[in-house]
Amino acid sequence: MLVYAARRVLAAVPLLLGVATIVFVVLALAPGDPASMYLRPGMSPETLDQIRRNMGLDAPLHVQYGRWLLSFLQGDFGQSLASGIPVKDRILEVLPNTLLLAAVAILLAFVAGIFLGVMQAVRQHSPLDSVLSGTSLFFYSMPSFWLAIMMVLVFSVNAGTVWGWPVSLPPSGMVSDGYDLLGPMARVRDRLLHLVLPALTLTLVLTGGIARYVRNSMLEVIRQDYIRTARAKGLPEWQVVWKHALRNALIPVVTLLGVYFPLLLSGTVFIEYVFAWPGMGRLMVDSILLEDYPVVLAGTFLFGGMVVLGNLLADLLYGVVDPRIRRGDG
Amino acid sequence: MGSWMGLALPGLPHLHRGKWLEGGVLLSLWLGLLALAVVRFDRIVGAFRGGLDERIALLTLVLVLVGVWAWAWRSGSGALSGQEAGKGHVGRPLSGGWAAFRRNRMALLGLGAAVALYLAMLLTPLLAPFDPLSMPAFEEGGDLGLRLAPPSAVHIMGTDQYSRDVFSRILYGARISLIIVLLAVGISVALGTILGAVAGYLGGIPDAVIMRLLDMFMAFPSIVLLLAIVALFEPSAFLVIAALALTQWPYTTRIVRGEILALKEREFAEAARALAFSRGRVLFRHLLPNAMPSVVVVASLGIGNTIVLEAGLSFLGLGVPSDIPSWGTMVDQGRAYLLDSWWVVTFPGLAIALAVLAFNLLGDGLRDALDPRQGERLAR
Amino acid sequence: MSLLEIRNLRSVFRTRGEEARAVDGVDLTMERGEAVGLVGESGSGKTVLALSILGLLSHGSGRILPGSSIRLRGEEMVGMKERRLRQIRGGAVAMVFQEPMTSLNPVFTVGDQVLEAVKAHRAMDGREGWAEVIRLLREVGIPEPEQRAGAYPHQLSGGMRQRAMIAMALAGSPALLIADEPTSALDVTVQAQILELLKRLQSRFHMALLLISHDVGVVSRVCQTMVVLYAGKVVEKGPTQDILRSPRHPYTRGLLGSRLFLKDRRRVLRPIPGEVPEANAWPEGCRFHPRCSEAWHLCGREEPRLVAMGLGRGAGAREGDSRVVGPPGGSLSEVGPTDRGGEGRSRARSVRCWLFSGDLGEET
Repeated sequence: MLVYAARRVLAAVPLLLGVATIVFVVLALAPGDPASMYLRPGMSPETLDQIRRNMGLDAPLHVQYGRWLLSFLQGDFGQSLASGIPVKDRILEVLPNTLLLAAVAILLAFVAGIFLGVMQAVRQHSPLDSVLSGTSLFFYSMPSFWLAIMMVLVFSVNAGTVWGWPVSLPPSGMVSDGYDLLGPMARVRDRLLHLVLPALTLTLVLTGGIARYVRNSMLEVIRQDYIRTARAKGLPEWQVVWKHALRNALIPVVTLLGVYFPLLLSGTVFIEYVFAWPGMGRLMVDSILLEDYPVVLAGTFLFGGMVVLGNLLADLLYGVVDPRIRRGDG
Repeated sequence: MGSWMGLALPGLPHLHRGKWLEGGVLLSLWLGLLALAVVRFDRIVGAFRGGLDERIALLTLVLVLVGVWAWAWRSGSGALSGQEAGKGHVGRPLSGGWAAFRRNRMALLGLGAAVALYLAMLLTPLLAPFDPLSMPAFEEGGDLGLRLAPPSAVHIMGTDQYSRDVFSRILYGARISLIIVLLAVGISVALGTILGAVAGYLGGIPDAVIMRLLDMFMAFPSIVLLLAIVALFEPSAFLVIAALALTQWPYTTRIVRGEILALKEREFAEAARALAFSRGRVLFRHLLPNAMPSVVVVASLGIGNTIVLEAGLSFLGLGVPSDIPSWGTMVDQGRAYLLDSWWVVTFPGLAIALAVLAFNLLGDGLRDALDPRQGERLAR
Repeated sequence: MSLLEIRNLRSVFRTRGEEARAVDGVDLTMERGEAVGLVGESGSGKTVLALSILGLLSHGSGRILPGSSIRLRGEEMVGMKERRLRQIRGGAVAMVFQEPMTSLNPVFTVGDQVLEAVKAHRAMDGREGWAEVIRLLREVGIPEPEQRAGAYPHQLSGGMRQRAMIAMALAGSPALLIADEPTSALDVTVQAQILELLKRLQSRFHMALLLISHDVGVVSRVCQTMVVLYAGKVVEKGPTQDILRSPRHPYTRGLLGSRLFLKDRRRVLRPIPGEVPEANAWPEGCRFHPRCSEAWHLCGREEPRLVAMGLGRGAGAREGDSRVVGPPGGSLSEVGPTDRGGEGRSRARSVRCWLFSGDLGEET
C-alpha cells in the first residue's frame, strides 16, 4: 500500500507542474505582455518598463518560465489588481467556502446516487428503474446555472408554507445581513439555511450520473459467481445486495470520484455565481469581469491543482477499498 | 396498389398498415410543413427577394417536403428495396447497429429531437412568429404593457423586458448556440481522432507525449480553462469555438487511442501488415474506419456537453458577442426578472436542457447499438 | 423417508431472451449419507439441476415449472417461502461451486466469508464463531488456519480456495452437500486431494453428497451411485461399478469411450460426435439420436421412457427380474424409481433406451 501510495503521489507531481505550465502557456500566448495587465491610464512608459523589469519580463522566456513556475508552486501568485492585496490571501479567504460546498454536495450526491443506483439495479427493467433512469438523464442534461435559477424560483421566490413550516430558503450569500447580531445557535441555523439551496442544486447536478454508474456497476457485479455463493450460504437478500454486491460495485465507483472532480468544480463555478456564494468560482468570474488577471490565473491553476489532488485522493481511496491493491500484490 | 394514397398524403398507407411510428412521423411532418407554408405564405413569397437566411429556409422547406414524399413513396409502395439496401451494408462498421438502435425507443426519440432541432434551425426564418429583435413596446405609440407579458396564444412563451417574443428569440438563439457547438465539436473530434490514432498506432514517445498533454488538459474543469482563455484573449466567435474545441479533444483522443490499441492486435490488422501495406494505409483504411462507431458516440455526447459549456459561457457574459442572443445569454438576461416573470428565464433554459437531453439520448442509444464491447457484455 | 426426493423436476433458464428447458422431468432420490454422482457433458443441465435444489434459479433469471417437486426430508421445497429456503441454503443443503477463483468474494477475507456462513446458521457470538471458523479451516486441511483466515481470496492458491469454499459449505453442518464440478478448475494433483477430502468428509459426517461432474473418473472414485444426464433428462442411473462395467445407454457408453485409459493402450479413444444441442432446441424423439451411432428410425420419432431393469451382477439390485423392453406403445410398464419404498431404492438400475434395456448381461 505504501509503495502504491508513493507511486501515485509521484505521478501527481509532474501533472501539477503540467497544469502550471498550461496556465503559463495561456498567459504567454495572450496578446500583449503581462505587464500591460498593470497598465493604467496616465502611466508613463518608464513606469511600465519598471514594472516589466520588476516582473522579470526582460529575461528570456525559459528563465521567466522557471521563475514563474517556482513562485506559483510556492503559492506566490502576485498581487490582486483590483484590491491590491496578495492573491494568495484572497484565495485563502474564499477557498474554504468552495470546499465546504463541494464536500457537502459530493457527499450527498454519492449517498443518494449509490442508493438510487442500487435500487435500480435490483429492480432492473421495472417502472421504478425506467422513471429513475429518465429523471437522472434529465437532471444530468440540465445546465447547472439554469437548475440553480429554477431552484430559486421554486424554493425561494414562490415559496410559502407547507404544513405550517416555512419552506422559503435564502437564495444568495452564505449568511443573512444581520448575522453578527445573532446568537450562536441562530448563527449555525442561518449558515445551514444558506447552504441548503446551493448544496442541493449541486447535489442534483451530480446525483444522476452517479446513479447511472452505480446501476451499471451493480448489474455487472450481481451476475458474479460470488453473489451466488453468498446466496447459497443462506444470507438474507439485503445482505447479499448491500454488503457483498455493493462493496464490489463501489470499487469502480471510487474511480468515478476522480472523474467527477472536474464536473463538481465546474458546477461550483456556476452555482457560486448564481447563489452569490463567496467561493473560488465566484472569485474567478468576478475577477474576469474586473480584468484582475493575476487572480484569474491563480484561480485557474488552483482549480487544476484541486482536480489533480482529487484524483490522487480517489486513487488512494481505490487502494483502500480494493484489497488486491491494498496488499501491494495486485 | 394502395400507394396512390401515399402520393397525396405521405404516411397514410403506413398508418393503414399499422406502422404507426413511421406513418405518424411522415404524416405529421408533411401536414406540419404544409401548414407552415400556408401560414407563412407571405414570408415564402418574400424569401425570393429576401436574404440568404430566408432562401436557405425556403430551400430546406422544399427539400424536406420532397424528401418526405420520396421516403413515403419508396417505403410505402411495398418495395423491398429498403431492406435490400440495408443488407448491402452489412459488414460496414456503422450499419450493423441500426437494427439495435431502432429497438431503443429512447434513442429514437433523441434522434428525432436532434433532427427536429436541426430542421428548426434551418427553418427559423419561416417558423419564428416574430422578429427576434423588434420591440413593439418602444415603437411609436407602443404599449408598455407588452413588456414581460406572460405566455398567451400570441406569445406562446411570453415576452421579455423589451417586449420581444421569447419563442422567436429561442428559435434564433438556437442557431447561434448550435452553429458554435457543431463547429467546436467538429474541430475537437477531428483533432482528437488524429491525435488518438497517432498515439495508439505509433505508441512509444508520441503516445507518451500526447497522453501526458491529455492528462494536463483533463485536469482542468472545462469551464475554468474556458474562462481563463476567454478572459485573456480578445473575445470573438473564433476564440470561443477554438477554446471549446481545446477543452473537448481529450475525450475523443482517449477513446480513439483505446480503440486503435485494441484493433491493432486483431487479425485483419495483422493481415494488412502482412500484405506490406504502408503504415498510413493500415491506419486510415483499416483501423480508423473500425474506430468510427466510438467516435460517433463520443461526438454525440460531446455535442451535449458543449451545448452546456457554450450556454454557461454566454450565461456569464463571456460568450460569442452577437446581436441575437444565444440561449445562455437569454437565461442571464432573464434572471433579473425572475421575481415576477418566470417565463423569460425558464423557457430558454428548458430549450438548453431538452437539446442536451436529445443528444445524450442519441449518444447513449448509439453506444448501446454500436459499442461492440457493450454488446459482448450484454450477450454474456 | 428419503433425504431428498426429486420428482418430475422441470426447470427453465433464460438465455438471450428465450426460455430454455434445461432440466426436463428429472427424478432423483438420495438417502442419508449416500454419495451420488451426476454425470453429463456441459449443457446437459447439471448445474441448473443443482441450483433448482437450492431454490437459487429465480435469482439467475430461471424458474422451476409447476408440477415439479423437490422434497427434503419430506418437506416440499418448490414454492417454499424464501425465509425458510434461506435456512436450508447453507444449512441442511450446502453447495460448493466450480470456480474457486470467482466464487469467493474478492473484497472480504476468507475467514470473514466462512464466519458469515457460520453466523447465518448457528447462534454464536464473535469469539465462538471465529473459533469455529478456524476449526472448519483446519478440518478441510488448510495449514496454519489462524493466518490463512485473514487472507484475501487472491492470496490463496486454487486448491486452498476450494478448501475454503468447502469449509464454508460445512459451516451449517449440512445433511446434503452439492459439489458442482468442484475439481474441474484445478490442477490434476490438487483434484485428487480435493476428491479425497470430499470423500473423507462425507463418510465422517455421514453427509449425503451430490457430486456433479463431466468426468466419469471423478464420480467413480467417490460415488456409489451414478446418474447420467443428457439434454435435461436422466438417461441412465444405477450403481457406479455396474454402469462402468456394463453401460446400457449409447450415450453412457460414449462418455466412457471418451475417457483415456492409461492401462489399456490398445483401446481406441472414441469421442461422441457433435455436442449437446441448445436447451431451447432439443431434438424430437430421443434427444441423443442425432449423435447416436446406433439409432434407428424410431429413435427420431418417439422418446423412450426411463425403465427399470434387472441387474445380473447383483450390486444392490431390488428388481431382479429381467425384462426386455420394446418400442413404446407396447405393454411395458414404466418402472421408475417412484415405485416401492425402501433403502437402496436409488441404487436400482434404470435406463432410457429401448435398445439396451434388457438385462442380457452381454454386450457386443
